[in-house]
This record gives sequence, C-alpha cells and structure tokens, in this order.
Amino acid sequence: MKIKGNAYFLMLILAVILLIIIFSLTMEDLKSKLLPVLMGGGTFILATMELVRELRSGKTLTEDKRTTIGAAERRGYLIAGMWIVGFFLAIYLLGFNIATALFVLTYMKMHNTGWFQSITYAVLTTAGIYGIFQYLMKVDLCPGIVFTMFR
Amino acid sequence: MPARILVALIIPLIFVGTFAPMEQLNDLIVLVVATILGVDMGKFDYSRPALFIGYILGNLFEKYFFIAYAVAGPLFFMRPISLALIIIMLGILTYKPLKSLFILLVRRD
Repeated sequence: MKIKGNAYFLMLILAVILLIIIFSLTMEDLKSKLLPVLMGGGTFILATMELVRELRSGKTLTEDKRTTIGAAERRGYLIAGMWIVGFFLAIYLLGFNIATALFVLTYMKMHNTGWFQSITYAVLTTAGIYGIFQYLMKVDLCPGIVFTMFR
Repeated sequence: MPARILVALIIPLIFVGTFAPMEQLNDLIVLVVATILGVDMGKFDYSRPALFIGYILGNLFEKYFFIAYAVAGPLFFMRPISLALIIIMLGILTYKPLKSLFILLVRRD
C-alpha cells in the first residue's frame, strides 16, 4: 500500500490531537478539560475516518484535481513568497515608508511598467499610507532598525 | 486595473492594516505565516473558509459553551432548540450519503 503525503499529514494531525487530548485529561478542573477533549475528540474521529478512507481508496482527496506542483508553478509560488518576505524584511530594516516606496517601485518595474508610472504609483502609495495612517490616524509606523540604530 | 498595479497597491495596504491596530512587528510575522499557510491550503485543496470560520467563531463558541455549561450542566444540548439544531445539522451532514445509499438500495431491488 502506497502511503501518500495526505495520509502522512493526517497521521500528524492525529498525533497532535492525541497529545492535546492526553494533556487535557491531566487537567484537574472538568471545565478546563471539557472543551479541548470535546473538540479534540471530534477532530480525532473525523481525521481517523479520513485516514481510513485515504488508505482504503489509495487515492487522495485531491487526486481528481492537481496534487503535484509543476516546476513553473512552484517557481511562481516561490517568487510570490519572496516578494512578501522581502517586503517584510524591508519594513523591518528600513521602515514602512521607504519599504512601501521601494516595494511598489521595484514590483511595478519588474513587471514591465515604465519608470514614470512606477515612480508615480510608488510616491502616491507611500504618501497615501503616510497621510492616512501616520498623519491622520496617528499610527506610529515602524521606522526600521537601520534608522533607529543611528538615532 | 492590471494585476501588477493592484498587487503593488494592495500588499502595502494589507501590511499596514495588519500593523496599525497593535503597532507590533510580530503581527506582520503572523501575516507572512498565514499567507504561506493560506496559499498552501488553497494549493492542496484544504478549506480556507472553514479555518477562517473556525478562527472567528472559536472564541464565541468557547464563551457560550461555558455559559451553557454553567447554566444547564453537561446535558445543556438536550433542550428542544439545541436538539432541533443538532437534528438539522445531522440532516445536512447525512443527507448526501443517505441519498446515495437509498439510490443504491433501490437499484439493487
């Protein structure tokens, strides 16, 4: 019997739920343990049913659709993820205002937009975020560790 | 509006919107992790609305569960309205399997 990724994931869920139930049962107060045991029990039953179905049928829930990710698709996800993580790192290092301007400018430039349009959108977005959040709503937008270091 | 412009405008707004209420960078880490989780869930056909509803309603569920438990004890769900709701829920959950079973039995006969 070939065990697929979905079955391993269900086994992981079962193990985690089992740990939660066992840990909850050690609690003295009935009120404290009732909810985790109740929810854990329900999840355990559902996950077991799904695991049995998975192992019996030998095919995953999503087998009719696409379960394998092609190299191009994976690359697309990786690039999108890198944009998100990169933007977060830029906020952490340079602060919201500079990171926003940089993100909008580089993102639009990398997606075949002209310099004028990219710079205009970058400036407008940064000004909009600064005006609405920092100026009007008085949110203390993160200045970035690079700038706080030199203060 | 082209996707490249929408993405460039929406992502900073999502980040600022997440940061603004608590002004904590940790919220942005949660945002990044939730994004990855959401994309992977979508990819592998896990229900994102179910997770979202669970996340939103979990607090309310816990709160009212304890209230009901305190008021009516462990068998609080044996009251008419609760029982009716449970029956409706079971009906919705078992409708399709029961229908297929019924069709199968009729065809066999």
